[in-house]
Amino acid sequence: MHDVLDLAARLWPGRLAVRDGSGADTYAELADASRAVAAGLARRGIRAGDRVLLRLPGGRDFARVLYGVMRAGAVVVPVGTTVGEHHLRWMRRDAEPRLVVALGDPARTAEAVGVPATDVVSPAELLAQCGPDTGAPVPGDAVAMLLYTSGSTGMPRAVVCPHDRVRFAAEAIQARLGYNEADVVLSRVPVAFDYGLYQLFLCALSGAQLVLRPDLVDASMLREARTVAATVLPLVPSLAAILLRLARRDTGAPPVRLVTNTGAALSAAHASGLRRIFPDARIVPMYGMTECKRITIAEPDEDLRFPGTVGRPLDGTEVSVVDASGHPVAPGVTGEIVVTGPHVMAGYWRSPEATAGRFHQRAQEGVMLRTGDYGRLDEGGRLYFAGRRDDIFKRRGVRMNTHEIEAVLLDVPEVSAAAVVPPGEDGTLTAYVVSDREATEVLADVASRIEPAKVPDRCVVLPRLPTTANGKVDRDALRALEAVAP
Amino acid sequence: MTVATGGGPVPWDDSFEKLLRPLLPLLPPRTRIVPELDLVAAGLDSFGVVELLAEVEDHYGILLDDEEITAQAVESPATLWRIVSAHLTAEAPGHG
Repeated sequence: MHDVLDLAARLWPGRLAVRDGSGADTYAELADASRAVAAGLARRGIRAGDRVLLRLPGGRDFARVLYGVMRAGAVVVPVGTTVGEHHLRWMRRDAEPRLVVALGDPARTAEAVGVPATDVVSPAELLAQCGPDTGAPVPGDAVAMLLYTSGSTGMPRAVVCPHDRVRFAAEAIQARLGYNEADVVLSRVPVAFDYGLYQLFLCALSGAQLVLRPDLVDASMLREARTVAATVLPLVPSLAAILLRLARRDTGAPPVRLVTNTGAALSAAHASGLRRIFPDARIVPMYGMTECKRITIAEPDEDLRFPGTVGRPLDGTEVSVVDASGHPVAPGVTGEIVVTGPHVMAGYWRSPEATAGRFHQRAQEGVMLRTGDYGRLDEGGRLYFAGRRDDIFKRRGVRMNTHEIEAVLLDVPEVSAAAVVPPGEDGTLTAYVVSDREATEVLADVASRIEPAKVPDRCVVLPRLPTTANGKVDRDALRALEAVAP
Repeated sequence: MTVATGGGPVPWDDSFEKLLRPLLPLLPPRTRIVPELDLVAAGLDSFGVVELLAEVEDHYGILLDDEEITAQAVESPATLWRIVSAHLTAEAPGHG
């Protein structure tokens, strides 16, 4: 993937690559810095295949070290700066990094990760001396990154991401989204989340400028977008909700031309709100998962003509919907979403059983990924997402998923957000809504719209739904509310 | 989560607490909001920050400066109240 940066440095040497709170690097500067990092790593004895854990906020240092580690043939392991000790130590045991790159007191980082202080280094130390580019070429099938993704149960698992598959995915996404050298991309999605991370690659492929300001709070996002004249905003629904709220106290739209959404479905209300704030923007719903990065991308504003679609598969890849025995179903029928193509990653790190359950080598077509997600295709090959396997459950003999109930809740007047948690051991189906109305009124409205088996037993009205660092509704936090809810 | 049960006066008026409490979904009902409460641990997420700042501005009729809208500003009720009360003093009628 550092080849992509080197090409950008040749095509657009003087264009800004990454801007953060302390300044900006051009593509030429970023490429030079990554060579310095690669030399610094070699000096420390880091070899091809060694894992290097990056516990850095998104910014120039992150980009320099990311490309430097790749150039050295070593493996980038990005870890969110808010990840707690419990998970950090698990990742250290699992990934066995030779080096940890972090800001701040190395002794504290060493303690948190559970490594000797001598294994912790700052970006500045790695950048300290320039060296010749002595590194051997990195083969395409070499592992570029381990990306941790939260499993539905247990500890996070790392998806093994080789250079050639990351590059295929990045180029296929760029072919659809069409970032260009005049674009300024303001991303508030963490770089430890693949959607945030790939913004670096999409920008390098197109000469666009990426603005990363994790030092600012989301509450200043709209102002920052105006200050940097952002043209592209990669969003998750929780960020869309923040922008909509901010727009009520703050006027003056930045020149946004493209808004992408992933992570969870963008509601029609959010989409129309975004179109109001950014009159010139086209909205692109997308769907993906770390195991193959991106699955589908809609045409700009396709959601207006085909409500709820997340678009068609990336070019050169296939999406099918299969029944329980693995046979493709007819258009319009819901089944498991299965993905085949050169973007399917190389399985889970050191987890042969988990890998065998999801990744299947096919003689002709390449690797097939069983997503564990459910959805349907239409006659035109557009995908509609129905829910994760964990979101599907049976109640009173009826199979249902949380998303269909959430969609009904959102259809109730004055309900602005809704989440449903599948029944636990006591069998109670609980809905959580944000609304000015009483819980009983909301439930009565739901009952008039949906079959009785799907009406929640209980409705809890909250001022807002808790979200995870990735902007998804935090269902664990909702479950934890059970203890204190009336 | 920090849950304080002690008494003692708080520096703010009742309405400040009324604005704050609905934005803290992880704070058990009837638990006192103390000045040093960790707002993030009490459930204040980034949307909550946006909502809180907007409501504080509306309610007190003040306009926070861009530079004041930082993570430090919403660390605890005390840090936010310091900013709000500075504006109230500076913008009080008769002083401008």
